[in-house]
Amino acid sequence: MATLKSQLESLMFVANKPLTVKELADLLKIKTAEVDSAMDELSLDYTNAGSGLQVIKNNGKYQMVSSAENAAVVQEFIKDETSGELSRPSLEALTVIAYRGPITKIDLDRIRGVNCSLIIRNLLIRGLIEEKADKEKKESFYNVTMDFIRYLGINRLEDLPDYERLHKDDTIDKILNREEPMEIVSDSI
Amino acid sequence: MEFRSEKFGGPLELLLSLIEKEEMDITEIALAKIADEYIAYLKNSAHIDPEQVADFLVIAAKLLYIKSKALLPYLSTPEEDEEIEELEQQLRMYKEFQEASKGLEKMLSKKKFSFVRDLGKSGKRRQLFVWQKFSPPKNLNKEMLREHFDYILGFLTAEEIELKEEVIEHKISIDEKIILIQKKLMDKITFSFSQIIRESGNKTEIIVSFLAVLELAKQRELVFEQDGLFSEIFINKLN
Repeated sequence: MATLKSQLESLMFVANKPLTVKELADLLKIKTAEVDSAMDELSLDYTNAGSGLQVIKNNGKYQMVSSAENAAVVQEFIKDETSGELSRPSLEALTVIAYRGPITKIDLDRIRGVNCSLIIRNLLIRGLIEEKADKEKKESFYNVTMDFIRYLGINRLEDLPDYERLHKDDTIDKILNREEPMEIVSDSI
Repeated sequence: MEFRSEKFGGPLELLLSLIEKEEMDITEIALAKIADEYIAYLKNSAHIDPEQVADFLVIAAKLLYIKSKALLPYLSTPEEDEEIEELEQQLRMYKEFQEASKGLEKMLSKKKFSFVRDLGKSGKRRQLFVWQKFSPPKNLNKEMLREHFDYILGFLTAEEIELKEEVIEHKISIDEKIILIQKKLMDKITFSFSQIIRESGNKTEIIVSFLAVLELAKQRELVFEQDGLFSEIFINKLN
């Protein structure tokens, strides 16, 4: 009987898209927590083995990708001309979303001190961020996409430098949760 | 000044660059010191995206307050001091993310990308960082559009801000009043000031009338007489 980890590995290899924890759990008829722990282990195995493959995770989805270390040779093989260049404001907004996501537009505006509507739109079009609507709070939240994780060459957002500190900064929470919002001119709908 | 030729992505970026140019920490003193430079940059607003002008102005107002507070410390209020504190915190927070974004930029510049095995149905790899070609969803129909639009409408809470109604009073100017009094003097050589008061609609108009009488007296078009304190004032035409 194959182990859970090896089953997941096979699924990752065959899948042609990121798979959600829920999809995997339903498929294997196990709990999502079990999927997560087995996938974490699998991801770590690949990293520790210095493998040419990695398992990346973002926003509850997993995907098998080529190792970032081999980017140059893979890029040459598939003739990919990705430059990774971004304007400074876009990069800043993307940074805030990466460290603080899921984040609302108003919070992003507050951190950058400027209305970010246009930048958000561009990042969405370029597939760097995705939008998720919260029906109950009637608000949209933004996260970076799996593709962006791939382009950073990391396995998960937690691998970003200083992630813990910036992700859970009390001062930031305080500013974002304060009663009176900054007078930022919100974009019209 | 060198910074003038630079374009800033937002007011915080500009503030931070001004403070760092002075090699100062983010403090109230630093903010007061760079207020003028910040406003000088705003005046040369060709560098500012028109959509962002309002955001820049909000910060400018705060800086002006900080500066005025440095000059007249007794004018400050606790609420406004709190706002300064918040601006400082916001700036520090922004600085953190600005530094983090430089970290991300470095990571991206290494071009250590990971690639997926899938080539997609079209056989073409989906590319990032380039404009993707038009690819509408296959199953989209007009019913779905309507449903989505209803869904979006649900997000828009009807927040109608009721504007306070206020009747704008007619204000009479001294010039208008002078002309009225001059006309009156053409009909009658003498009349009492209480007559003017009776014709005035409100307190402001009475004051304006009084100033008009004084002005005409100064221009030597009339003289006024009063027998005693608080008694009737008579206005006489001067020829």
